[in-house]
Amino acid sequence: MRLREILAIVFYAGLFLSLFAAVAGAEGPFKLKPGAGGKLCLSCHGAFSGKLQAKHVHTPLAKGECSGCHNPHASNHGMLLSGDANAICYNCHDSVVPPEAKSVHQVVGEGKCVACHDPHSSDNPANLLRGGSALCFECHKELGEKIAANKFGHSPVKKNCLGCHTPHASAQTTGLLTKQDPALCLDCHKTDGATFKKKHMNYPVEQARCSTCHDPHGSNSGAILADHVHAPIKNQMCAQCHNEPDSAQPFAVKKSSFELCQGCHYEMVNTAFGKNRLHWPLVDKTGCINCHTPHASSEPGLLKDTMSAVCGQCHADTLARQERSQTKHQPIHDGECTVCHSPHASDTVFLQKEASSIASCAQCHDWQTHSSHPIGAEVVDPRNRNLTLDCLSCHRTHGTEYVKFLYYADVQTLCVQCHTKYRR
Amino acid sequence: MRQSSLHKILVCLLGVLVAAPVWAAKIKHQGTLYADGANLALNLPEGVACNEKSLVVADTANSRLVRYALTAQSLTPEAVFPLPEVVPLTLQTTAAGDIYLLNGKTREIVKVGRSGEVQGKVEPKGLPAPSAFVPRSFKLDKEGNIYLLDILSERVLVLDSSASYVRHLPFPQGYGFFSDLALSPQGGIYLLDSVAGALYLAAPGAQSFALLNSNLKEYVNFATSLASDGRGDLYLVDQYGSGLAMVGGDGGFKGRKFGMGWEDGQFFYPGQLCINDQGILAVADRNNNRVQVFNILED
Repeated sequence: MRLREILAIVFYAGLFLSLFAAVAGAEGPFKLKPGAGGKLCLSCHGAFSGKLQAKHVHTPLAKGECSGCHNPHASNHGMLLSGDANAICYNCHDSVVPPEAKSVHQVVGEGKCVACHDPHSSDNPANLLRGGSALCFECHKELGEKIAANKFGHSPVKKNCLGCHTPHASAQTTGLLTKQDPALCLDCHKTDGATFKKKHMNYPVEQARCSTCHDPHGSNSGAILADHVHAPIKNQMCAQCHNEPDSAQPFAVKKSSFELCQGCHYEMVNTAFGKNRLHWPLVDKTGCINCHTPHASSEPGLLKDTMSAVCGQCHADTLARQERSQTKHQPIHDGECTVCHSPHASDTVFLQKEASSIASCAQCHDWQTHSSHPIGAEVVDPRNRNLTLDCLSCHRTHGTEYVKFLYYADVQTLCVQCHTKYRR
Repeated sequence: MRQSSLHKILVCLLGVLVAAPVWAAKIKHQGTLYADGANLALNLPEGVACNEKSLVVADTANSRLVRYALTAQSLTPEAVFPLPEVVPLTLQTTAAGDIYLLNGKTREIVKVGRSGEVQGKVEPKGLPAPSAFVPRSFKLDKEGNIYLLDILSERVLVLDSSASYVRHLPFPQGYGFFSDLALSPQGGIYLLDSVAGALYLAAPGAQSFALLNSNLKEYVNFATSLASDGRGDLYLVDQYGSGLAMVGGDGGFKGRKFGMGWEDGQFFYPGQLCINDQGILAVADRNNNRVQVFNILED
């Protein structure tokens, strides 16, 4: 074949493909007239023309491609969306959550992009519903209030949450941080000054995690130390627990597990060890810091987290039971496990503070002052001759599937377990 | 009914049968122990141990042990061993009838002779560093070797019958909290992680533990006691869920039995379980103040 003929074939093939692409593009999936697009939609949805005047317009809308997200004919989803509202954004924005992300913003994980973004347009960058931290504090209300009320603030926090956090997900860090601490903190804070070194007792804290002592959101303690500070930290006596700052391993502790804490908290440890039943994590390798943080905490008692989160580390089943329960038991609901339980040790099962469940419940429920079903050491449980009736005979304190923590769906079914002659 | 609908239903039923775990053995309730020979009631019995001739109960809140003679699969109260100042939690017995118990108050293993005399605590000899240990649980093998679940130094210590150090295996990385261990008939060591709902195995001769199953939380709430039945299967006591679960030697879940309650065959926050070579399975039904005894029947 001659070169001229080959070139002609290539030319016509190219021309055909270009024309085909142009026609296909003009028609789109709904075979709209060329140039119709969003204009057609706006002929009815006139109010949207205002949306187009906003500073930031979502790209498909700006291009007049309403059908990028909506199906103009029919849909199984609200707002005639062409896909699930919690998934449709990912059709284009599929790289928002990196694979195997270390932390993901809950709303992002749930696909609730519209919690923060206006899908059409906004005067805020990235089509955000509100600018600055105000948007974050709509969900993180408690944190917002704490930041506003703190005696000692952290200036970047007052400016914008995004100074330290990434809003969607992070491949490398926990807590949606833009960098893990201390690297994040060291972007602003210089550690080579004499004052800094002196304040930190010459320990190489630039290698440690700042947030184990400081509350990055601010606090009511100087140097934004968390609100509850362990006495040795407050008194700058780090070497009470750690090796000397110029040693080979300055952060290594002098003893392990409870033995380290026992040096000061001997009374508490000795009392616990004198009880019949010990909370086993107290004497495992991690010891006290299974539940407590050794430096500073925003929780009382230097707890690592809220009490329900700390107890829930191991007893997630118990908390889940309460979540499922039709009736909430106030102390559990409020995360006050220690109203009933002694967290270190006890002479009774379940590490209860009181010897009997009747005494335990009576702390809040003054049944003694009212008429009550017979309970107590003299009342034998008809179901089991080795048991006497107490509160747990009818109620499961962490909750059941039924109301009032009853073991059965209705009172009659419960009663006839013992009062068998009334069984139907 | 149209043939295609019938076909669909049969396929679904088959799918359910294939997907559902199969309980490999039947368990028949044999009896319930409520008291000693003098009719003094058990009080929060936490532990139970059994061999071919007897069953011993840790009558925890009464600070005593109660032994029952096991004859032709019937149980008769035989002896009571008061142990003031001791809080017996879990137990093991030897073929000769000696009893080892974990004292909850001192967190020590105490040896009690067949006649009930306290022979002293188990003090390991020749332990490599660290020398400190806290036993959360322990098991004996047929040779009398002691396997200590040392939660303080994160290891399983293997001691011979005279408490001399033989070897140790470090806990695996990333565990939640180990509550119990069990021995396979071949000499493997199983670890029960109550918090993560996981089971680990160190095969005979192995130097480390390997994860067998990390999904037990689907079937149990908070399992605290583990025993091997001598045929290769494992039984777990689900304390918070008041039930019993069975797992194959490979870690595969086989089924779940019983539930919370006060009748025979129901548990109320049970403690330890034991299984003997004759297929007797006993559970310290702690908060029901009793011990329930079952027979594991062949398939």
